[in-house]
Amino acid sequence: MASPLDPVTPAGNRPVVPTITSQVQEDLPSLAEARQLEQLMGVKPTLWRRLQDFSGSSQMRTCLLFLPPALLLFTLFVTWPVVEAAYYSFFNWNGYGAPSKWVGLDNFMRVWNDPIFFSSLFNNLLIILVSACIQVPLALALALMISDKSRSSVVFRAIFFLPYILGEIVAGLIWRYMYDGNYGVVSVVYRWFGREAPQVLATQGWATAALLVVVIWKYFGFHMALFVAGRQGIGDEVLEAAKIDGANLWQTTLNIILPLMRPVAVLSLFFSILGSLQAFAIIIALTDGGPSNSTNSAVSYLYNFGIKRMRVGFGSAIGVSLFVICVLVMVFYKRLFMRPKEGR
Amino acid sequence: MEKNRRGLDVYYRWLVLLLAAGLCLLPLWATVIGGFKTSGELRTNAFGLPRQWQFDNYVSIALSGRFWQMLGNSAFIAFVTVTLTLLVSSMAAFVLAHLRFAGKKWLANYLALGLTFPFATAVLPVFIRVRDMGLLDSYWGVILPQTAFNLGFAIVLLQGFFAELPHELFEAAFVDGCTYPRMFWQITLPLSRPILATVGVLSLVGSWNEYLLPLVMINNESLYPWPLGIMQYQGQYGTDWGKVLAFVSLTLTPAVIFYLMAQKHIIAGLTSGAVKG
Repeated sequence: MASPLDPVTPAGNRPVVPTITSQVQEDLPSLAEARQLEQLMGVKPTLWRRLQDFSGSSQMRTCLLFLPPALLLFTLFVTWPVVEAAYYSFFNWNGYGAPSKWVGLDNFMRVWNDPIFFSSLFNNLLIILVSACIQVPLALALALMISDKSRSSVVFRAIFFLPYILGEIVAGLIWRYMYDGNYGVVSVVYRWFGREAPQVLATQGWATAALLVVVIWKYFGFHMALFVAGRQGIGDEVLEAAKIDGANLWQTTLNIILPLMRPVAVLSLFFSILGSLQAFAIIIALTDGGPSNSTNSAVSYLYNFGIKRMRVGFGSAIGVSLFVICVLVMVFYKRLFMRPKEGR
Repeated sequence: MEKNRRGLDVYYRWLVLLLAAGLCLLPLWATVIGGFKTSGELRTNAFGLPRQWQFDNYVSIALSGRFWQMLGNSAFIAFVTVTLTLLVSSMAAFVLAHLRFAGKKWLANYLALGLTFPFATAVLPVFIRVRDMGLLDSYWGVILPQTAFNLGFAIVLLQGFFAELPHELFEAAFVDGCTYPRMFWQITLPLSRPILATVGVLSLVGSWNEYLLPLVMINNESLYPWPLGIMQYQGQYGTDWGKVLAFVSLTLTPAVIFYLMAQKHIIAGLTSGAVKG
C-alpha cells in the first residue's frame, strides 16, 4: 500500500515506534528518538521542533502541493489588488505607463465632496431600508404560510424563488419593458384608468422607487427560502408542547416561532446589506444610473465615473472608500447582531 | 401542518399566495408572450395572448449564430470556473481541515477575507493585472479572477464540511499507509458530494449571471457571454421590444430549465450555502 515516496514514518500526530533511519549523522539522535524522549519527559515540543517535524514530512509535501494554487490565485486577484487600489488612489492615472502623477488625497477629496457619490450611497441605504421594512417581513410572512410539506407549498416556493436565479441583467431588462411608458405593463394599467402613463424610468424619484420594486421582486424569494429553512428547523416538540398548553395558531406564531426565527432574520438582513453594497448589473440594465445619476448605487457610481473613463486613481479612491465602508458595516453588524460561530 | 384551520383562513392564505405568485410571474409571462407580438400589439395588449402569433422574433434569434455563440461562451466560462473553483478550493480546504501546522488559523482567516468585500472595489487593479498578463479579451481574463473570488466562500464551506468527516476513516487510512493526496481523492471527495454540489451550484449561478467582470475584461464581441450580448442587443434594437423580449426569453430558458430540473437542490444549495458561508 505504501508508496515508495512515502515510507511509513511517524509523520502523523502521534509517533509510533521510532524507526531509526537517520544514517547521515548517526551520533545525533534521530528526530523520532528526540521526539519520543521529549514526550517521555513531558516536554511540550517547541515551535522549532514542530517545524523540524513538519519539514520533509508527507504533511509538508501535501501542503506544498495543495495550498499554492489557492493562495496564488487569491493573492493575485483578491487581496493584492486591494492593496494596489490603495496605492493607485494617490495618483492621477489613466492606467497606461507607470503611475507618476502623485496627487495625495485629492482623489478622496473629490469622491467625498461629490454629491452624486452620496446620493449613490443613499440609494444603497434605501435598498437596505426597503429590504428591512418591506422585503424581509413579506418574505417571512409568506414563508410561514408555505413552510409545510404540502404539494401546493412546494409549488409556491418554486415560483417565489424563480426570480432569484435569473440574472440581474435579465431582471433589469424585463422591468425596463414593464415600466416603459409607451409599451409596458405599467402603461396598460394606466390606460385602464384612462390616463396617459408617465415615463417612470425617466422621472427622478419614480425611477428610484421603480428600482426598489425590482429589487424586492428579484430577491424576496431568496429571503423566503432562508425563512422556510429556518422554520423547518424548528422542532415539532416545541410546537406540540405549545398546542398542549392551549396556544392557538396566532399565539404560537407570535410567541414561539417568531422569536426562534430571529437569527434567520438577522442573517436575512445581513444578505440585504451585502447585496445592496454589490448592486450593479440590475441598475445598469434598468436605468443605467439615470435620470441625471439619481439611481446609481455605490458600485454603479464606481463603474460610471471610474472604470468607464479609465480614471484609475479616482476609481481606486471610490473602491477603497467602498471597501472601508463594507468592512466597517460588516464588522459592526456582526458585532451587534451575530454571535460568533463556534467550531470554525 | 395543522389540519383544523378554519375555512376562512385557508381561503385568505390561498388568496394571498395566489396574488403574490401572480405578481411574481406576471413580468416573466409578459416577457415571454411579448416576444410573440408585433410592436403595435405590444402597445395595446401587454398581458394577453397575441392576436396573431408572430414567430419571427424567436426564430430569427434562434437561427442566428451570435445567440448560440454567446451562450456557448457563458457555458464554457461557467464550466471552467466551477471546475477550477471546486478543485482549488477543495485542495486548500483539505489541508486546512486535516493537517496541523503553524500558521494554519492565520491562513484560514486570510482566505476568508474574500467574504468581506465586493469584487467591484478592486476591479480596476484586477483589470490592470489581467491586462499586464496579456489576458484581456480571453476567457481566462474572466475565469481566473472569478475563481479567485469564489475561493473565499468555497473554502469556508468545504473546510467546515471536511472537518466533520469521521476521523477514524483517516486514521485507518493513515495506518494502512495511505498518502494524503490519496486520502483527499479517495476518501474526502467521494464523501463530500453534498457540499461540493452546493459550492458548485453557487459558483455556477454566479458565473452564469456575472456581468461586471466580463464587461471590464472582454471587448471582442465573439467572446461575449450572454449578459453582455443581451445588453448589446438591447442597445442595438432599443425599444423594438418584441425582438428584445424574445432575446431575453431565449437567454433565460437554459437557467429556467436547469432550475426546474434540480429545483430542490438549487434552492437548498443557494440558501444553505449562503447561510454557512
